Amino acid sequence: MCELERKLIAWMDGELAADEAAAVEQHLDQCETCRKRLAKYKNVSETVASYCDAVFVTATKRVVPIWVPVLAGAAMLAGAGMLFFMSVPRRIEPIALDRVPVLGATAAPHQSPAKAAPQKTSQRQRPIAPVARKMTPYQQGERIEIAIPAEAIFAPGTVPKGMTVIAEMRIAPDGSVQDIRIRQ
Amino acid sequence: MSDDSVPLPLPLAPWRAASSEVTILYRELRKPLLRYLVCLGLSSDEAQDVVQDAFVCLQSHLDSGGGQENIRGWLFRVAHNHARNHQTSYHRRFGQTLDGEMNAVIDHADPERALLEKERIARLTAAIRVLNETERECLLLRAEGLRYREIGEVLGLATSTVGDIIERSIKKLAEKCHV
Repeated sequence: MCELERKLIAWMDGELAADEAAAVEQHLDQCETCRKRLAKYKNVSETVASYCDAVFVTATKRVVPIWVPVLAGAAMLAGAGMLFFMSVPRRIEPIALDRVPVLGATAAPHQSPAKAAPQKTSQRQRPIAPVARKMTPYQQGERIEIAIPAEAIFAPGTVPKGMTVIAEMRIAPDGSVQDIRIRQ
Repeated sequence: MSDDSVPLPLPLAPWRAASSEVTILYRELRKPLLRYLVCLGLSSDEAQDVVQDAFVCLQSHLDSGGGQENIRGWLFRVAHNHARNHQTSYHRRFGQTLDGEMNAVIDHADPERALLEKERIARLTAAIRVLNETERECLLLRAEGLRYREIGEVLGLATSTVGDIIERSIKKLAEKCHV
């Protein structure tokens, strides 16, 4: 084994004093074996650097689970559906006339005795009778189907051609959307 | 800077100088520090925390008039010692297979070369388990560009000892992974 073989790695790393480095360089010019060794050590050093990069990428790479975009798409679809239903005029059931409150009667308990003095008939508040509209009452369990093109919700190319997603929801009597289910 | 700007009062001037120096060091050394810590076995989040703590320490060190020579070695030493506090995860990742992630770091312009590089890393990953802890740490710090003197400062070793350890480790790897 060459005497200077032990200094090859330190020379490669630039850790030798000038005179030692010059001696190694001179030796490398003459020794084929040491040149091969040096090439091998350089190769190992480069591989260690690549290894460090690979470990770093492994640790820092954020893998997004497949269900995240699917869930996000479903949430967007549900949101769009809700907005659509909210924009549709709500059906109002006709109110029975006998259940209409009389404003004068409800206000009476809050009046002080002094103010509760008899008033003139002309100034007394008259009961307000709503106008009954002719509307179809909401049928419990009625099914409404609305088709929204996927292109209107998702970015072009993100949804496979021919794929349909069905959002089912129940409209509560107060008009709120409940029991949203997304299925394909 | 506009002409009408007011210079900072004198007591803040040293702080501003230290802060600017820390910012420059942060830009330069954040990634090497993170890579070293992750290679030691810390998770990405743990490594981020340790690097942040190390720079907070550096700011305090400079604010209190601490020495400014070999700041790189100083930072790596602080980060290394902080990483030691995460001993439970210290050995977790070291030497694990990297099959799924190697594509991200290998140049694909030449498929044949990419394949060879992939095989080399795989062999090194297996061979690196043969090294002891100090040998691994010396090699990792060397891979981040630290001088032998700086590595010695981080690990508490003499510079000549660091040279011997690195030489031994490289030869071991060259023998084991046949690169």
